[in-house]
Amino acid sequence: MKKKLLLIVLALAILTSLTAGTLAVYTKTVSKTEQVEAKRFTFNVAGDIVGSYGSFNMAPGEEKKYAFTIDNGVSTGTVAEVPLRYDITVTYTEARANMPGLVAKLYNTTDGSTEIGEYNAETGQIKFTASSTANNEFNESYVVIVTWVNDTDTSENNPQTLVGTNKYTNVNGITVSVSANQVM
Amino acid sequence: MKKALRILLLLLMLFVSLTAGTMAVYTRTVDLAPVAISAKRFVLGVNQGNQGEFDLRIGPGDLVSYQFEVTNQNSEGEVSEVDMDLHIDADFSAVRAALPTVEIKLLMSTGGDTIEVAAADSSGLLSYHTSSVFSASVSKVIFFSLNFYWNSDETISVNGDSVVLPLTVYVKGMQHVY
Repeated sequence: MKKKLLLIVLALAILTSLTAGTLAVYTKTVSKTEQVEAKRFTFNVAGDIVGSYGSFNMAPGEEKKYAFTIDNGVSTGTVAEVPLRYDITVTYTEARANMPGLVAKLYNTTDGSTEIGEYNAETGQIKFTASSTANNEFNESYVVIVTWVNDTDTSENNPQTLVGTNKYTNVNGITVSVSANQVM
Repeated sequence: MKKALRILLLLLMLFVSLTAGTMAVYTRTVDLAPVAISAKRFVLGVNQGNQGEFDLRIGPGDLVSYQFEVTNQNSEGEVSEVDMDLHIDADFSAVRAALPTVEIKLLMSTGGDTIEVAAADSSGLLSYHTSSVFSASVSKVIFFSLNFYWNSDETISVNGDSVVLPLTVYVKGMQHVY
């Protein structure tokens, strides 16, 4: 019995020394920390009526302008790091319905003046889409020109005269909305 | 059946995770301040007497008048916001035919002197057209007088009965177009 016990202890001792020896291996740990950042999304829109007017107060034959700009961070010095699509919507549905002859057109005035966009008679909206690429400056100028075309009807109480006699007013006559969406 | 259901569920979860990942894009909408649109006010007011005042009774040597006012302001004090031209036209051909020697003149006054601005021609037609007589947003009243003078120098044979003759005057205001 004692002999067996001695043999077991001896075996255990050998095993332990072997294991300890086996575990005594070279080891080294290298750790590295990286930063994860969200790509910059920058988009600015600004607009105002052209001239010293607070609103569009118009008679037949007159026109008024609303100018606005879109940029992807150029104005703030931090250009967007993702490609963007800009959806521009100009709406004047009610005003057009109540002021016969009222017409709005959208122009890109960045370099010269080019009429852009498509008018939808059903929705009373002009829509246009522009785009920019990642890390490249995009800074474009636009103007909405609203004209109340004179229908030259001089008959008594013609539609345009009635509008003026009643002084039709719409506080939301023209709205401009711009959506910027990341392009995948 | 259960196996098929499990596979379907797994596919659905896979699809949802892929789609969710795809739709997680940057997006922002800016609505610029709305612009109010209004029509410029247009007002033409003509203040005239009643029908009785327009039933002029005239005899040889008489001078009778019909007065009326034209303004660019309505009864609520609101003034027209456009420059306005004024056209006054009248047809006195029946008067001219019946009373050839009656002189018909249109006189105008804006608060100062009274001046003659038009006279009926030989056929009895009278016309006065003037541009931008009213200025935008400036309240103004113009006084007019239609004068009928029966020149009695000539001898006229009349039977003594009164004759009713139609008189029609048109006053039209129009936005001045530049």
